[in-house]
Amino acid sequence: MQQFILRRLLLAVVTLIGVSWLIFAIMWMIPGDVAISILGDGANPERVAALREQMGLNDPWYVQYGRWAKDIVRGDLGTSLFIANKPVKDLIAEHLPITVNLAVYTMTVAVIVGVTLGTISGIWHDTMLDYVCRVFSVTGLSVPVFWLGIMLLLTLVRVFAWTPELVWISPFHDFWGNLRQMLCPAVTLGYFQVAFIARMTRSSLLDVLVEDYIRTARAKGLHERLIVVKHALRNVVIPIVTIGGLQFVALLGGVVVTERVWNLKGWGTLLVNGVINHDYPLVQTMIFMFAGLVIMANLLTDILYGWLDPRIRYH
Amino acid sequence: MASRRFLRLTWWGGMLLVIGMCLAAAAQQAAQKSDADLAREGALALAAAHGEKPRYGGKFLSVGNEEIPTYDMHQTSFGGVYAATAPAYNCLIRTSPYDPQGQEFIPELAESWEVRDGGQTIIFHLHKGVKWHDGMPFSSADAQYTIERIMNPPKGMVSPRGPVFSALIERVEAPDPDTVIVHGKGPSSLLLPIFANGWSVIMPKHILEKDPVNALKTTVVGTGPFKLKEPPTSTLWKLERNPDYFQKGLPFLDEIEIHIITDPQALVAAVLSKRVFWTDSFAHPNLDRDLAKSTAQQNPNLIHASAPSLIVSHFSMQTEKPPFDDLRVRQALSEAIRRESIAELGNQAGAVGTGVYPLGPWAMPVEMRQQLIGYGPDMAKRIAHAKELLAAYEKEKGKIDWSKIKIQCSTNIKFSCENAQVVQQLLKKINVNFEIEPMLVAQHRGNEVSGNYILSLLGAAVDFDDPIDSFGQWFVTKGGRWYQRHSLPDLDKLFEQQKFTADLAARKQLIWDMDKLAMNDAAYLVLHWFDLNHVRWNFVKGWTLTPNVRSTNARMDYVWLDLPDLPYAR
Repeated sequence: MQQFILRRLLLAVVTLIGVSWLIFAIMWMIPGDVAISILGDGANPERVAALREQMGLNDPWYVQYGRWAKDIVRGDLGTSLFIANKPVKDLIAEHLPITVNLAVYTMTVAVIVGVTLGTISGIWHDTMLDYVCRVFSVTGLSVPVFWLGIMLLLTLVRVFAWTPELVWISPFHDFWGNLRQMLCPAVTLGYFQVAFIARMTRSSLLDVLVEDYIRTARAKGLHERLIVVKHALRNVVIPIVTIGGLQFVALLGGVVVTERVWNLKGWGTLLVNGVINHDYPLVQTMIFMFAGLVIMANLLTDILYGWLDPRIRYH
Repeated sequence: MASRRFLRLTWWGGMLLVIGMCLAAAAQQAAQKSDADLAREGALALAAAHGEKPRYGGKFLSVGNEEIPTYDMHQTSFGGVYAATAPAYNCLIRTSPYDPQGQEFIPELAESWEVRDGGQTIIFHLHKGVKWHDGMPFSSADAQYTIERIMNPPKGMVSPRGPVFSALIERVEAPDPDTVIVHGKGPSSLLLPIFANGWSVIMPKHILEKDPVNALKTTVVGTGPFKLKEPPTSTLWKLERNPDYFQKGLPFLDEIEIHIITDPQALVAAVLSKRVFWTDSFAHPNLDRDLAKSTAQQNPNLIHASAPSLIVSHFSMQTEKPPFDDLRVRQALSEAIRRESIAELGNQAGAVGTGVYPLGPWAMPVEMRQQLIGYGPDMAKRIAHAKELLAAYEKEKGKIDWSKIKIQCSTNIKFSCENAQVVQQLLKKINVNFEIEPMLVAQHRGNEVSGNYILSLLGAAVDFDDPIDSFGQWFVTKGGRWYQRHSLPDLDKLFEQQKFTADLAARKQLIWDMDKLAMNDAAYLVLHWFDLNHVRWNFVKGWTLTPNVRSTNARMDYVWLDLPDLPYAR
């Protein structure tokens, strides 16, 4: 197990170096200029040239990359070129908790509702109840997240003349205030995930329920509820954990549309604005960190497998 | 007896009549007072003259429509920076918050001013006892340093308004701590207004001297009515009343919170739910006519205001690249574009005009304008003319392959691609079919600046309703936004000639001659001067939408909330 983790960590370092090269190359290839973003409609060739010189953008690419890499190795995440010379670490510290918060709530909604619906569908399969759950699931997969978000927002505005708070409330400061603020965005995002998890749960449960050990449990006269909850669902959980882990990381990667609709200034908004404004150090550091997160999430998922299913061993 | 009583009654009647007439005359005199005189009497006097009785206190929930890349107003043209930092600063003079044209000046840091030498010299007499937010005293040295910094920015600093300042100003003097003298290069009607522009705020010399480029990029220290309550984040600015503000009775508000909301739908939702009280402290192009109207229709207590702004939607042709190096092709396109259609078919209303603001003092008369290429009243005649021009070109130089020509537009500037679609449809009438090439504005603007485009549809704002700014930016050879890259030597000569022509009628004629040359050259088409829209709750008072979105109204000192729980005195 230790060897497995060590091997994966070494591989992670190589992957991260590759990612940093790739992002640097892509950012260089994207047409546009952070100097023009800063100058706005006041840009002209002389001003652009002066600003580029001031920001060190006229240096060769390897000098710029080296500067960034040296800072990263020293633990300095650099400074944003676009946003008031702010340290990237401050920007990330300001925006990341919002997205983590949203992702946690989204996955909570998705897992609770999705597993419940999938279980109901699986147990009472091919009944009216199953059809209702499946229609609900398919709808979740079909409805675009931005449409659902806007509809939900407009409904709140029109019916209750209410929208969530504009400034993020930390759950550690005011949990209920935070819940009130994040619930609608979490439902917007979670509905898609609900559909995904419900369908996954249903099909896995149907497979598990015809297994020999379930038949044995029934033959022993165990109560059906106990069979489903204790024996069947434990095996159903493995694919859900896999999917859930990846979906969680994907959510961290940026839920830009939902963040925009609900005016949440999260990681996704920061990243997209960084790309739009050609804020190289910001984007590069954020994607570098995101790649690290993906690698760590995959590693944790693999470790979780072993804990959930003792038959899985790592060599 | 009866006659005595009659006499007494007549006497008293006469007295009452005299007193009444005196009072009426006094009231009339008060009504005739300028906003500048009223402002000198105090904020309440100015408000009362405009029918307002302000309440004190309250927290104003405002919005910023754009991100804030720097806090130093002199190094950017970003409206987001302007909206966030304007409440913390002051100009020497400012526009009246009640003047919808934004042209009537009232005192700010300068208590009074004298215009001498036919507009070539201005003497500002400064307020005494003004302090910076850090407690240091303000003096004429700060004003002198600021103006010189705008005109001659230190190495590493970009000064967007530098060219206008240095075109007009010869030198600045500070003979004593309370006086600033600005010597112009010639008599100009723009010399005074540049100091009443919202961008021309005075900054602290004692802070900038330490690091002239970076010192105020991440902090705000002004003399203004509000100061930072806490360090701003990229999503929220909190400002609180400056208790030491030098203007008597101002500001009316206690606090301002500026929420950065860049998505128009999220902004509208925030307004409707009263999370914010308006759509910005200046009108923003992202809130188009249709969205603003539909928002205001949601609640009878919402007020929708719109005003033609000092922003044009432009259609630029790169004249270094064929076929737009030929006048006939450019004129053909100009003739085929009916300017009124941009407002009718797009989401953004606007006023048809030429290179000068059509509702301002320099506007070209409509009869004169209709003689220009692209402005004639008879569309059938214009289309026929356009076809003739194209045929003549193609006969001489061969057929134009329009399929290879693309018009660039910005996907993240709402009106840009919408107007490009309208232009695309209009030009089909002369069998010109080209594709639209959407891209992000940072790339698009970069292409305009570097000349890496053939056709481009975007917008450009000017800070002053004066051809020194608009023509200096758009049409003069190598001007600030000379995207079309076509030099007109005659226009350049006229530009220099009009700059310091003191006689208004003579200057107007020169400007119109210059305008004719630019419009008939048809390389940089002004599609329209578009309207900006603003929505606010009816309890927001003391604020007026002006054509110049960068008017000093973003200062917020005269803004007050008409909420019953707020008192009439502090």
